[in-house]
This record gives sequence, structure tokens and C-alpha cells, in this order.
Amino acid sequence: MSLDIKTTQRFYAAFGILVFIGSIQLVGTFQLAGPAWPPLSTVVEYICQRRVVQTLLLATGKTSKVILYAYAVGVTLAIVISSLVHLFPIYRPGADRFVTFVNAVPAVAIAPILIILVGGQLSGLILAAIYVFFVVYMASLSGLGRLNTAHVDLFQVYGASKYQRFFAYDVLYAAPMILNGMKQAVPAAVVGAVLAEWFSGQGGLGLMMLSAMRNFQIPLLWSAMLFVACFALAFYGVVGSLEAYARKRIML
Amino acid sequence: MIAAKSVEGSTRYQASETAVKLNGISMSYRGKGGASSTVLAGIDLEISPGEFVALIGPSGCGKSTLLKLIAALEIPTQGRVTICAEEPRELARKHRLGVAFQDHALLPWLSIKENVGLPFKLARRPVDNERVEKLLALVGLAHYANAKPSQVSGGMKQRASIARSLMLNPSLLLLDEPFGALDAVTRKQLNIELQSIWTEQKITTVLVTHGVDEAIFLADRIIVLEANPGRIREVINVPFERPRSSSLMRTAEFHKLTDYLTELLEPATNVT
Repeated sequence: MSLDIKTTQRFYAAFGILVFIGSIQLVGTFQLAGPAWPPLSTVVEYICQRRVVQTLLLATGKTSKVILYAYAVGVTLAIVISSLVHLFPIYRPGADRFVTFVNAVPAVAIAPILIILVGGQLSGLILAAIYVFFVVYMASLSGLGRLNTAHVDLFQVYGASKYQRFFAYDVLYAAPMILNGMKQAVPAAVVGAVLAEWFSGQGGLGLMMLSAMRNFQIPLLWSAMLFVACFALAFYGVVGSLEAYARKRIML
Repeated sequence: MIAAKSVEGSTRYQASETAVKLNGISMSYRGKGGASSTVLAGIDLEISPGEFVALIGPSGCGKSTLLKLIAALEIPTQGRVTICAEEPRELARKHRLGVAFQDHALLPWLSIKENVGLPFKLARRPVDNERVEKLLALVGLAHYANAKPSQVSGGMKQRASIARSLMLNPSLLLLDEPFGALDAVTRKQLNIELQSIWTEQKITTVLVTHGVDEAIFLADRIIVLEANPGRIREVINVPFERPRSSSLMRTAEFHKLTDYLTELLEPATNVT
């Protein structure tokens, strides 16, 4: 019996996930990485306690709020600024240099200053938004810069203004690339938010991980990590589905 | 006026008005090392209203560049292009140009009907559905109005592209090898359709093509270009009456003209 390509791919994907989970379990069971690596079953058992799951959900709620706000701010700013740069290319060299400079400054350097300047909660949002902004800005500019020449010529010959072309064509044609950048920015938003919670000491999964690490609460540390990973994967999946939809709809 | 030559001998092209005027057109591109390469040099050409002109020539002779200059997609290094006494850019702004490229340039997310009606939206006018349907029927796409470009054949895409180019009753129709990527049978069929559309609408048309038979079948006048740099080598008045049918392509006169033009296009051939 032969399987079609999609089923085969799904089978390999499921197999890969099983191998990954199994390996984590085995390393923990046989203490191959020491006491800091518990078996996955122990972590799941720990999470299943009502008190623990409530605490974890509360922390996830706080962190996810920062992630989503930061993501929205970063994506909006990136799309608006890259669109302006695309419409007025004279500003591109300056904008590119500024964006690269901001991205090149390490979070370790910015975070303490931000915390003093704007407080813990907002500094987390800003830090995560900066990460998101850079990834989406680059993807958006790249998408807007790869338009089809024949389409561009068509709009010009038919007397379309650059704004008409931008809204009727440029944004739509670049949408799959922009959404791809938004997908890649999801882990950046999560890293930014968790890092900011480490620095700021504000509640959330980041602080919980830091506290669990200092107190050697290994199951709690792993549980927090698992919740962060699950949230990031779910978010990545949603944006990835949007990208797949846009690609199917636009690149027919 | 420029001198024009038919196969039988020299004739002179007479025109009371000028739809397109190219005056001393030269086009050069500057390369990376600063060296400039001349694509077109000293092109003078006048096209009358309602005339169908074909541009043919070897690869690299600047046919498509010439069309881009007329379409305001490029600016000549020297000389001036006017269409109905206006700058091409002005005509484009007034939505009076129609174009069909070898790449059909249909937007993949729009249906055939929406693509064909796109010029209305770009001209900020309400889409005239009646005209869209009429033109779709004219090019034989009435049953494919709601299909996406990916769901129709290459020939159908080109038909849609031609329908789109006629949508706003353009003053000038520019066709850049619109059937270049199609098979011989579809191409012949579309040539016949294009001729009947043109006969009905009588729009001044400039066609760039590699096909000598296509140029003879469709055009009133054929401009033969030579390469390095691109110049007008000869202007031929096509002596066949309209409407032309596909049986014309089997006549001795048609073959005689085809052979003559083919010879003109062959490199290092001296035609006297």
C-alpha cells in the first residue's frame, strides 16, 4: 500500500515528535544529564497538581499578554515604517542604518536602562517589540522589494498612482513574505518577553523560571519552560496558518 | 514622414494626422564600469491614427525598449516621444493607453473578470460590468469570467490580457509579443481574433513580435529594426486587403513577403 506525500510527511512529523519526547524521557529516566533533567512524566505529573497548574496558567497569562502586546506593537511599527520606506525610498539608507543599530545593541545593555526609564512591565514590552520589529521590518522590505516587474509596468501604463498600486498590489503581493516574517518573529517576541521578565523581576513565566532555577525547583523550572514552549508553538502555528493561507490565496 | 518601401518597390506613406511621433530617439544604458551601451539610435517614426504597426528585428535590436519608450516606462536619452501631441506619461495618467505583454501580468488573486475590469478601478471609475462582459465575450472568455488565472490556459490568459488592454477604449494599444510564449496553433487563432477585434475598434496599435508571418498578417506597416545599435532598417507597407483570413498565409504573395522579411532579419545579409 502506498501513501500519498502529505500522509507520509505527517507520519514523519509525528514520528519525529515522538522520538524527541521519548529522548527527553529517556535522558531523564536514566539521569544521563544529572538531577537537573527530570523525566518528562515527572514534570507532567507535577503540572497536573491543581495548585501548580493554576500558578502556571496565571504566569502564562501575564507573559502571553506582554508577548501579544509587544508582537502587535512590533509588527505594526515594522509594517508602517517599511511601507513608508518603500513609498519614499530616499529615506531607506537612513532607516536601514537606524534599525540595524537598534537591533545590534544587545538586550543585556538595553534592559537595565529601560527598567529604570519606563519600569518593569513596559520595558519587557519594549524589548520584545524591538526583536519583533527587526524581523518583520526586514521581511516586509524584502517582500515589497520583490514585486513582479510586469505587474509594476502594468500599473504604471494604466495610470495608477503609487498609492493606488501600493494598496491594490504591493501589499498583497508582499503579504506572504510579510507573514513569513511575522511567523519568524513569534519566537523573537517570546524570547524578548521572557528575558525582560528576568531583568525586571515582574511576574510571569520568566520570573517563575528564574526563581525556580535559584531555588533548584527543577520540576517547576521545566513546567514553566514547557508552558512557554507550548504557547510559542501555538502562536507560531496560528501565524504559520495565516501565512499558508495568504500564500495559497495570492501565489495561485 | 518617413520613406516606406513595399516589396514591389518604393512607396511613400501618407498620413493626414499623427497618432505617435518618435523624433530622433536614442536610448543608452550606463553599465557598471561607466561604459555606456546604445540600444537605440536616431529613431524617427510617425504612426497614423487607426494604423496597425508591427516592429520586428533580431534579438537585442531594441524593439521592446522602443515600445517601453512609447509606453512611458522608459525615458529616452535623446529625442522626444509624443502620442496625440501629448507626452506618453500624460496619456498614461489619463488612462488612455492599453498594453498587453508577453507576460500576461494578470493578478493571481483576482478572477479573470476582476482582472479585465482592473483598468476601471485604476482610473477610479465604477466598473462597467456590461463592457467587461462584452469584451470577455469578444475574446471568448465569457464562460471563464469567475476562474482564477491559474485555472485557465496560457492562451486564455493572453486573451484576458488583450481584453483588459481594450477596456477603457485606449487611444493607443501597445502589444509586446503577447503571443510569444504560445504554441503555433493557439497563436494563429489569437492572431485571427486580434485582427477581428482591431477591425471592430480601429485602435492605433503597435505590436512587437518575433513572428514575421504574425507581423504580415496583422500589420498595415512593418518596421524592420537592425541591431547594434537599434535603427530602422526598412519600412514595409503590407499590401494585403482587410479583412485577412488564415488562407492568406498560404498564398504565394504572403510567402514572398515572408521570405523577404526573413532575409532582412538574417545577420550579414545584404538586401538591395
